[in-house]
Amino acid sequence: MPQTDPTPPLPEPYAELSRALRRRYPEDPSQLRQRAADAQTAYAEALQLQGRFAEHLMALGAAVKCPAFPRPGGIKSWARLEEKTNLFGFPPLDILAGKIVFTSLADLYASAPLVGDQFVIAGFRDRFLQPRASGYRDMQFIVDLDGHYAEVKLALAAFDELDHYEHRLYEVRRTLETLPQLSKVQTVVLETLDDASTLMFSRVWHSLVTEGQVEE
Amino acid sequence: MTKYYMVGAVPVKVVRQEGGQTAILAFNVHLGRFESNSRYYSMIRRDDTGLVRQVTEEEFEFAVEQLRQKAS
Repeated sequence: MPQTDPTPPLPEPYAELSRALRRRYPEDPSQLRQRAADAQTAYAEALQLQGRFAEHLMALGAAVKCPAFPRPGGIKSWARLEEKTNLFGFPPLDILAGKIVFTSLADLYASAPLVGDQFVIAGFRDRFLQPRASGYRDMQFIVDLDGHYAEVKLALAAFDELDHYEHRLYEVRRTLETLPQLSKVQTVVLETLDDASTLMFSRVWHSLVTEGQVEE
Repeated sequence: MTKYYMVGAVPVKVVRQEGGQTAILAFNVHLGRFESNSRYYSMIRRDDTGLVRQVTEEEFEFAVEQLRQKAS
């Protein structure tokens, strides 16, 4: 992890809201698995449920007055699903996925309790409180649609925007990751690209908090 | 030096070779053998999923054996 100014923590009023959500939804998404053990069955389930999922996601967006975006194409591509299933040994939880994008953390936290009005929530993780190792932050809900899990994320516009640029770094990393083994230099390049993306997320968060854009 | 991991249900070992090369070998349950896969390098170094766990060599071998038996 690159050295930079200490990353400011989530302001306490939000941290308290986050802890309340955790008490309500104690299951961490990493503990959940699709009922279907194979990618093909999980994919077929998702295909059948995608209309209903999108309908509820759009209703949630309307309720919180923020734009809602189902996954482009509605469903994770078969190639990507197969790849992810092989990488982890089981189908992922985000075959069906969507996000609501907020411009302020205050609105995002005020809206979080409303996710349960549209979806049955099976898992919850607040990555503003405990950011991902990459530094990316959002709020993740795993929702249950007739036994099939799908992902709903509450995202902050600044991170969502930065994510598009981070994806360019990811594409360079992917080029190296196709190699059967990595030389010392190649591992240095990979690690530096990883650190660069972590630094970008960290700096964006830092500026949001210190410049008062994360109003309490 | 070799380090052992479980990435979800997949046993993955990271082998640092003399000369500085790094090989990442993941157990393919369908083929019953290890295959090179450098995708795991960043996934392990910077786990964003909560699904990466470093394990001992014994735990690793046990997991591989379980998968072999499941596949056969």
